[in-house]
Amino acid sequence: MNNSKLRNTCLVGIFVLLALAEPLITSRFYKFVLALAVINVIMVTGLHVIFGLTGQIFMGMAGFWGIGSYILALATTKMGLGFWPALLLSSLGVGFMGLVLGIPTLRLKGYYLSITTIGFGEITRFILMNWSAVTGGVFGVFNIPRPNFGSFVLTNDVHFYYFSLALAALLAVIASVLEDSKYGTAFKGVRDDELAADAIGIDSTGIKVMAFMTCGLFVGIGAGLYSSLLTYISPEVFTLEESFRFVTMVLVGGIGFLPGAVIGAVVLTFLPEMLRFLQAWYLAIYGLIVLGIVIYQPGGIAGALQGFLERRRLARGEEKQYGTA
Amino acid sequence: MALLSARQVTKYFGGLCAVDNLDLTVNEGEIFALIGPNGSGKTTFTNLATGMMAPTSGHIEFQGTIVSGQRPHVITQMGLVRTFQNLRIFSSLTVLEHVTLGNFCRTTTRVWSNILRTKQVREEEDRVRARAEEILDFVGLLDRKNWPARSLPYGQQRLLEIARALATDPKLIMLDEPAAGMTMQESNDLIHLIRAIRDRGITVFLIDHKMRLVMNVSERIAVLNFGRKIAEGTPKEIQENPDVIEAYLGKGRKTA
Repeated sequence: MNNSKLRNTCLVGIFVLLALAEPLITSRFYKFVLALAVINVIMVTGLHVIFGLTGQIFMGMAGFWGIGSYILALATTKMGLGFWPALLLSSLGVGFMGLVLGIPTLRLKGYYLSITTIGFGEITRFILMNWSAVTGGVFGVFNIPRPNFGSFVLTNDVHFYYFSLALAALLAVIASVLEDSKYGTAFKGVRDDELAADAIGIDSTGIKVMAFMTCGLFVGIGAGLYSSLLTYISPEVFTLEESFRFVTMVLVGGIGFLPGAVIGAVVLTFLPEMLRFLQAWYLAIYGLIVLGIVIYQPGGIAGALQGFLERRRLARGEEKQYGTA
Repeated sequence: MALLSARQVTKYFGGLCAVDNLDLTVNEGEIFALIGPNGSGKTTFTNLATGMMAPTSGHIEFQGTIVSGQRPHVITQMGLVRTFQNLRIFSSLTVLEHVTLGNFCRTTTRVWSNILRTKQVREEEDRVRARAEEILDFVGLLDRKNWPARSLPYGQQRLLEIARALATDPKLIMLDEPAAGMTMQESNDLIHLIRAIRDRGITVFLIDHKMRLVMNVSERIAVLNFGRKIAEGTPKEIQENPDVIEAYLGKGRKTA
């Protein structure tokens, strides 16, 4: 089974499971967490493009997320836009941020880029918090509308969940098609060896900026859904800790394997909530679990899956080979 | 006709002069070799010509346009491509993907049409794949096309780098020590490959230590020593040049 086939099979399986899981969850709170998980899936799909495929360690997800959430919130409550144009605006707005952030910073490499993007996330949070005239400051924004189809408004969380799931699936398809296109190969080429990519005529800075914009467009949609689900947002959510959590989702899933990132997003949305009964201990236990995965399964879920398939092939006595023609 | 010309090119690394006032001309359609002992500035010159570094002074022209100081991908798009002395293989890509990616800079479809998978995109993909397979066949790697490139043996990874560079449709290819680490048989095959590349209408600029390869295949040779050109001529002229012999073997003791 080649990589894109494996990816597609896994994605279909995960989305079917997510669709079937909703009725099985009885607690209203966990239904809400499940909706959050799907929104995180959308955002992590964006991060997958820049981090998983293009290899740029982006630590400013909270900045993208915050900007997108506020664009939808302010566009609907202050500018009187409908949900749909506001969602489009939040996607385009964060995509544009990707461009603005990408052009000056993407000449930086590795850790320098990470640190700069940490700065970007923190600056965003401070602006949201202190530019009260526009953002409402620490009080946040209230009465953000839910999505509507004509006069039918998705006030019901179940409806909202399936709507988000459909969008997440659509975006996963788009990300997969992009990954299988010539651009996907270019992303991976830049990730593997930037200098070699330059040497064969690829503008690797341009490719990275493009990956950053794509990430922004995706995160903008997730972020818009987030403020619509909560109907209230305030700046203290969009912290550095959250940026780390998104990066961890990709790590836990296995870098460069979209289904892994999707599972990572779901697991890391539920895990903190399920560990909440531990109270003060929760962060320590959460940290240990993540550390355990990174140390004992550095390939993440994807690595574990590939290892399993490889062992099964060997057990069947098939030789390791890649075929000829 | 001159395809590539270096005019008084100098490159300093701090106080070290790696390339010293170098003048060089490569003509269209020839196989030209740049040789010299370790540290004589051969790779530095390649880096200067392909935009990996900018010269301290002087300039390099390709088809009459100054390329030194340009960004690497722009130079490659103009038709000047290189391979690397230390292999630079994309570790997660297959053999075929390497070569299709080499052709990326010649493709025209946009992101949106790639997401919508328009007819143009599918036709372009077919074209790129067919061309990549033709090039893989040309270097003799077609039966390995689905292999992850990192599992190829060393000598074949070198061939893959050449295939990847050929896919950019170059007018001039700079091969930086293509025979390094190759077996005797492989470097014999390389001689035929280099000639075949030239026969495709591509000018070859070869850098290597292996005298047997260089003397066999090249039509004109320039010799560098400590960044300075000490000789230029046909293989025969170079072999008989006392300065070259001295640079390679050291000075003979004077007998009184």
